Amino acid sequence: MSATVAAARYFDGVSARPQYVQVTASEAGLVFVAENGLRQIWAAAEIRRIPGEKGDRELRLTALGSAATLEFADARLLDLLRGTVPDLEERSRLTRRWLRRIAGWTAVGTGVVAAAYFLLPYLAGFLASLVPQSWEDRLGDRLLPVVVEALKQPGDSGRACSDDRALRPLGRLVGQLAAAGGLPRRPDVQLLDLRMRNAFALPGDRVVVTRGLVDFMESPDELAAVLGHEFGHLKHKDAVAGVIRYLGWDALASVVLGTGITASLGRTLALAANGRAVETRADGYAVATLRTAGLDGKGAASFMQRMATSEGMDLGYMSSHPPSADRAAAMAAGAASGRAAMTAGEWAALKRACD
Amino acid sequence: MTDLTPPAGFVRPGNASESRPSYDGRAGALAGLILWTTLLTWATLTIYRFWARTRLRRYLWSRVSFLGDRLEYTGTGGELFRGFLIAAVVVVLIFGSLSLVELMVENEFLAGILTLLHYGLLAAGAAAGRFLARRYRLTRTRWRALRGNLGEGLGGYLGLYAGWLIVAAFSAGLLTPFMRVALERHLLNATWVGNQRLRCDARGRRVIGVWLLIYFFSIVVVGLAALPATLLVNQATALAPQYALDPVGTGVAAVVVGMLLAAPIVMLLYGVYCVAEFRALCAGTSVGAVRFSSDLSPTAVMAPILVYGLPLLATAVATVVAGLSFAIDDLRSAAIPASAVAILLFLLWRIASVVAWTHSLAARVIPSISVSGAFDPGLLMQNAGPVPRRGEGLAEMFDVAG
Repeated sequence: MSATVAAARYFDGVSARPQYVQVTASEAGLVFVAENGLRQIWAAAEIRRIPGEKGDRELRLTALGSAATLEFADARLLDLLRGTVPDLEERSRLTRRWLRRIAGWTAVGTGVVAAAYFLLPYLAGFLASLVPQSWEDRLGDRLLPVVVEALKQPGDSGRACSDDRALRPLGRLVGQLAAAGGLPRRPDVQLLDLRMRNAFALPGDRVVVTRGLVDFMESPDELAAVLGHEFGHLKHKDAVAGVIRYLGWDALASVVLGTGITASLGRTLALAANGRAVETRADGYAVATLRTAGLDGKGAASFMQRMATSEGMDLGYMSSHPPSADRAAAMAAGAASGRAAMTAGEWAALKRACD
Repeated sequence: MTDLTPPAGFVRPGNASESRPSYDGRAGALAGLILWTTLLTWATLTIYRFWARTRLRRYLWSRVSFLGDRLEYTGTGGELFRGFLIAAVVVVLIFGSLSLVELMVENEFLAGILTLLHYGLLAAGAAAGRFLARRYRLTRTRWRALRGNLGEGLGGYLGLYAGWLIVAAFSAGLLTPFMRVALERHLLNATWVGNQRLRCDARGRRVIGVWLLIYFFSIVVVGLAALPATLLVNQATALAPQYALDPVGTGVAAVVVGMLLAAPIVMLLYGVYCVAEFRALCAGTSVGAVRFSSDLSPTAVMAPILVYGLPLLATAVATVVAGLSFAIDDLRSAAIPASAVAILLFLLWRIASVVAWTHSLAARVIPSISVSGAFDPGLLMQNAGPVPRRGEGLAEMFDVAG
C-alpha cells in the first residue's frame, strides 16, 4: 500500500480558524491529526472534491456528511485520489450524472402534456355535464361582455339589436330548432351589432350571432344551419367544456413550464378551438335537427363553401370554426330538402334589424 | 489562539490583512457556461433550468474569495426542482380555487373582497418567495466550511412588504427607496454568517435625494424624447394613412416611442441610484466588530448596464416592428424576417444579459467591498440554525428566483 504525505489546510467546520495538518493519503483514504489531538479518518468512499474550475491551483476536499474541508496545494494528490476514490468528482459531475434523470423528467413532462392533449377534452366533457345549471348561467353572463369586447371593431356598438318585429321570425326559427333538436331549454339567441362575422355558443344556453355574419349570408337557410350547429354545441355543453379545458391547460402550463414566456405560448396554443370531432358532432346535430324540423338543409354546405373562399385574414368565424372539405361534404350528403326557414320579406327585414 | 505560520505552499497572494473580497471569474468561461446551459434548458422544455441555475451559482460563488478562501455553493438542482414541484401544486390549487370562486360569486361586494384577496396573495407569495429563497441561498453558501442562514422574520418581512407596497403605490413611486432599503435591511438583520448575526442600520433617507433627482431627470429625458418621437410617429402614419390615429392615439404612441428612445439614459440613471443604494447598505452593515463599506463608483456600472440594456432595447424595438409589420399590409412581406430578427435578438439578449451583467457586475462590485475591523477567526463558528431541505419553490412560481 503506497502512502503519500502532504501538507493541508484544515477547516473543521466548527470555527473559521484554519489548522495546518499533515495528511497521510493511501488507498484506504486520508488520515491526519487535528490540533485538538484527535485523529481524523476520511474513508476513500466518503471523500468528495469540492468543484473548482480549470486553472485553480488548490485542491479542496470534503467528506460525506461533514462540513469540514481539507485544502491541498499538492497536485500529485489528485492523481492518487482519482485512482482510489470512486465518487470523487460526484459534485462536479453532478450535471452529467443527472442528465439521465433530467431527460427522464423531460420525458415525463412531455408525456403529461401529450396525455392532457388527448385526455383533457374527454375529461372536460365529463366535468361539463356535472356543472350545475345556475353556475353555467352565471358563467355565460360573465363571459358575454368579455366576448363582445373582444370582437368589437371601431364603429361597433356591440349592443343587441332590438327591432322586435324584425326579430320575431328569428324567435320562431329558434323555437322550431330547439323543439326539433330536443333542447331542454329554449336558447337565448341574440343578434349583436358587430361587423366581424361570427356566431358562437356560450355557457347557459346562449347563442350570439353578429350582424356581420347575417349580412354575409344569402338565405335564411344558411342562418338556420348555423343556428343548428351552435345549438349542437349547447346540447353537448361544449362551451362549458371549453372553459374547463382552458383552465386545465392554464394550470398544467404553470406546473410543467413554470411562469414565463414558454408558458404563455403554451396556454395560447391550447386555447385553440374545439377539436374536429366536436365540430363534426355539432354539424351532424344541425343536419338532423333541420331535417326533423322539416327545414331545408342545403344552406349549410353552401355557406361553408362561401366562407372558405371569401378573402381576408378573417379572424372571426374561420378561426373558431375551422372548415374542411370533409365537413362541407358530410353536411351536403346529409342535407334534406324542406321548406325555407323564413319568407323572403322576413329575411330582408331581419337583415335590417340592426339599423 | 496560537497563530501557526503556514507551511510552504500556502502563502497566498495577499495575506490575512487583505480586507477585500476578490472575484476571478472569466467572461469567456462564463459565456461558454451560459451558452450550453441555455441550450440544454431549451432542449428539455425548461426542466433543466434548475440545474442550470445551480451550475451558474456554483461557478460564480467559487470565483469569490475572501481572506484567501473561496466561497462554496452547496445547493443542488434537485433541491430546486423538488421545491418547485411542491410550490407549483400548492399555488395552482390555491389560485385555481380562488379564480373559480371569483367567477361564480354573485355579490359585487364579495367579488371585490375576493379580488383584493387575490392580489394580496400574489404580493404575499412574491414576498415570501424572496425571503425563503434568500434563506435557501444563504444556507447553501459556505466559507471556510461555515454556512450562512436567515433567521426568523418571515412574518415581519411580509408585513413590511405589504405596507411599503401601498405607500410606494400611493406616492407614485417617489418613496420607493424607503421600501427597498427597509426590506433589504430587514433581510440583512436576519442574516447569519456562521454563528454571527449581521446588523444593518442603513436608512432610506440617505438615498432619497439621489432617487428624487433621477426620478426628475428621467421625466425630463422622456419629455425631451417626445419631440423626435412625435416626428417618428407622424412619419409612420404618413407611410400608412389608413392607420392614422386621432390626437390622443398619436400622443400615446409618441409617449411609448419616447420612452423607448429615452430608455438607455433612464437605465443609466437607475444604475446611479442602485450604486448609491448599495453603498448605503454596505456602510450600514456590520457583524461583530467588523464593518463593511463600498467604494463602487457609478461609472463602473455603466458599461454593464449598456451591454445588458441595449440588446434588450433592440429586442423591444424589433418586436414592435415585427408586430406592426404583421398588421400593416404594406410591410407584411417584411413580417417574417422581422420576427426572425426579433427572436434572434431576444436570444442574444438572454445570453448577453447573464454573461455581461453577472460577470461585469461581479468583477466590479465584489472588489469594491471593504471589510475592516478586528476579526478573530476562532470566534466565528458554525451556524446552528435549521436548514431547509428544498428551495425556492415559491420564488420560482412568483418569478423572483434566479
